[in-house]
Amino acid sequence: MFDFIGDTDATHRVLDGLVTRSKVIMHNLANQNTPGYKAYRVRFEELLQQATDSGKPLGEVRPEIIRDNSGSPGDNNVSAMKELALLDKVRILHDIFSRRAAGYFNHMNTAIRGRI
Amino acid sequence: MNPMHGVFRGFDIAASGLAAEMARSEIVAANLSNINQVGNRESPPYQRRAVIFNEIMRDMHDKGAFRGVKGSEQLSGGVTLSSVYVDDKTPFKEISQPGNPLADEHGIVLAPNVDMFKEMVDLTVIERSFQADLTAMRTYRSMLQNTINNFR
Repeated sequence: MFDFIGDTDATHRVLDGLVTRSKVIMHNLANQNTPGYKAYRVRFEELLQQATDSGKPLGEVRPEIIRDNSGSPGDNNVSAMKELALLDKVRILHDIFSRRAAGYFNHMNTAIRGRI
Repeated sequence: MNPMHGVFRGFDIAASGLAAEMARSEIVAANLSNINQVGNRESPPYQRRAVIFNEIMRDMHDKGAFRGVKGSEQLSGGVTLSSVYVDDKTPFKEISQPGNPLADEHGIVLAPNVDMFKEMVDLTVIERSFQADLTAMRTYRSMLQNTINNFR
C-alpha cells in the first residue's frame, strides 16, 4: 500500500522548490551585469530531509531563499555558465518529479476504474 | 488568484533581463553613431552615455514572483535599467582639424569621449548576457511544457 497523501505532498514540495530555484536562477542571470549584485540560492532539499528525519509533515516545508555573499564585497558574483548548468539540472529533476506525480494519479485512476 | 504570481512570473523575470540588455545596447549604439560629432569649448561634442542596472526591489506588500517563500522579502524578481547618465568625467579627445569651422586658433577640435573599442567590447558582453537570458527562458519554457505532457 502506498501513502498517496504523503508521497504527493513530498513531490509537491520538491516541484515547488525546483520552480522557485529556476526563478531565482533567472533573477541571477537578469542581474549578471548589475554592479555589486550577489547571487541568491534556494535551499529546500536539506529542509525536506530534516522534516523527514524529525517526522514533521512535509506539506509544511517551504523553500528558502538565501544570499550567496562569496567574492569580494562590491563585486558581482554571478557566473552565467554556472547558472545555466544549474538550470538544466533543475529542468531534468523537475521532469523526473512531474512524471512521478503523474504516476501517482495514474495509479489512482487504475484503482478507481478497476482495470489496467 | 492572480496568475502572474504563479509559475508564469518566471517569464517576466527573464524578460526583464532581456529588456534591460536591449536598452543598454541602444545606448551603446547611440554612443557609436555620435562618435564623430565634434565640438569645441563653447559647444562641447557628444558626451558618452552609460547605464546603471538595478535589481528590482519591491516593498513587503508585493513580493511578486516569490510570494510566500522564506527569505524573499527583499526580492521581487528581475532587473531594471534605473538610469542613463552622461559621462562628464572622462576628458574629450583633442584632434587636429584646422579646416573645421569649430576649430580653435590652433586648429584643434574636441572629439567625443567615446572609445570605439570599449563600446564594441560592451556590445559583445551585452550579446552574451542576452543569449544567456534567452537560453534560461527557453529552458524554463520547456520545463513547463514537459510537465504538461507528463500529466497528459
